[in-house]
Amino acid sequence: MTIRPTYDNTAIVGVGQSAYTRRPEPGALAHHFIRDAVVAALDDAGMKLGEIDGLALSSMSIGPDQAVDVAWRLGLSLRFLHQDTNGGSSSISAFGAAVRAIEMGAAKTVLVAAGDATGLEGYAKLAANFNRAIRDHAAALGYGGPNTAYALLTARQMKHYGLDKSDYGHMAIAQRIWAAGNPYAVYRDPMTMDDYLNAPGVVDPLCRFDCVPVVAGGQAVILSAPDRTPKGRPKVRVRALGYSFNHDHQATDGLKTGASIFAKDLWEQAGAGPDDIDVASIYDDYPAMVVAQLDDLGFMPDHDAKRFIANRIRDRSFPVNTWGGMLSAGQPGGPAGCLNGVSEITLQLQGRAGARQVPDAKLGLTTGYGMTMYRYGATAGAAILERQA
Amino acid sequence: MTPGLNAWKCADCGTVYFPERFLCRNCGGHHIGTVNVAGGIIEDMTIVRHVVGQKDWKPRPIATVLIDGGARILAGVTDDAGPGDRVTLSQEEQAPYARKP
Ligand SMILES: [Zn+2]
Repeated sequence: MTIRPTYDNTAIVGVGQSAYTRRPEPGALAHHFIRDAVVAALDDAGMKLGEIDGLALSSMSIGPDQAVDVAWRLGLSLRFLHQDTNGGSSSISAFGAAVRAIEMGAAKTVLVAAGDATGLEGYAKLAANFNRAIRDHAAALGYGGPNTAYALLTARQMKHYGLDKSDYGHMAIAQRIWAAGNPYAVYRDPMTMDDYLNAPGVVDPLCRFDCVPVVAGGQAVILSAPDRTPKGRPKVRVRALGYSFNHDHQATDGLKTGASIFAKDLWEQAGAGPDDIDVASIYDDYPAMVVAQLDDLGFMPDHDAKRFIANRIRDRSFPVNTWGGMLSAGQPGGPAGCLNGVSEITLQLQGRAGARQVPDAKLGLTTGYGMTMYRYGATAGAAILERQA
Repeated sequence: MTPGLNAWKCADCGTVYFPERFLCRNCGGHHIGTVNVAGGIIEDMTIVRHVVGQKDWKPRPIATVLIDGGARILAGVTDDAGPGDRVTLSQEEQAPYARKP
């Protein structure tokens, strides 16, 4: 018998973020950015700090602290604590753990928070010592971080789908147009195809605009009982969750992500399909990974990525990464990026997305992807969120 | 540089691994020993032109190599070998390199 979970006792009652900055002030810690996001989320939810009894935290730069140290510094006393440091999808994993904690009665109100402040130098150190595989077997080659892994993957994807550089350019440009409506995005000025195609090469075939700008920043989401949703706002509940870890042991071409493993189950849980999604946030550490996840999740049944980009993404008729995505808004470490997706879908479903609002969004999808253990990402997660009538 | 690549192999079913594994995903066995792999084929390749925080960076070619026995690895390329080429493997400390035979 398959257990079909429901998440009727949980709603997203508040969201918040810190400022994103390319160059944090000396001494600025991940803790500071997480704090700013928590203050914003509490304010958004109309809640007091003392009401939080659970924390699910993702960060790659709070060390030597752990989640409980951050709880201490934030003045939180808890009965549920969860820490996930497994790369770019870790905060959507932490989000799922928080939802399940509330559904099982482990906590009433859980703060899901993520943030990083590595600076560029700290980022370079992190990239070269990401795990044993990278440190021992790749760093000496001049690997230089995940750009190399995704350059090789993008080359394979271009061959597989018959894509050109300009196809990825259309994706980056569309996200830049969305970013103009997001006051928090670090890059909001329009970008032309010439800008994109003439940008300096980073790792072939990736250019500067294919690689996320690393920023310092934090995100927070508060989950609680649906009746804690602030008055006047529609409730946002979780319709489905899907996760996959180490789906193919790094043994294939990496063109299919872990989302391919849980896609069928995710849509069955949701009682919906790709055509029902009004707005999506697809983890965009690189444009190629947006293509891969969209195909894995069934958005292109004919697997014609070129046509999907031309007909749905370029003209923004399929609203994907309406906050600009990490490519334009910035990547606040891997983990907080997908929490920004949760936040964005919540704002869209509640009609609070301002200049970038998608009309009458009822059902949204948000994903995470990451933990580039060796040749590509090993973790994937997704949540389908709905506006409750 | 030492010739060949020190990879790992399941003594029970023969599956070849790189990096090291502690249990065999194919048969569940835990008798995993080392094996020296002489060569492989380049599947795809890139040039690392820019690395965050590095000045005076010299472009470095890195390839995906399907090594004999079946694992896919990242290897530095030390000559003009490219996609589709058969290559000989070598190793410096624990980092794999590839070149034409
Ligand atoms: Zn075996």
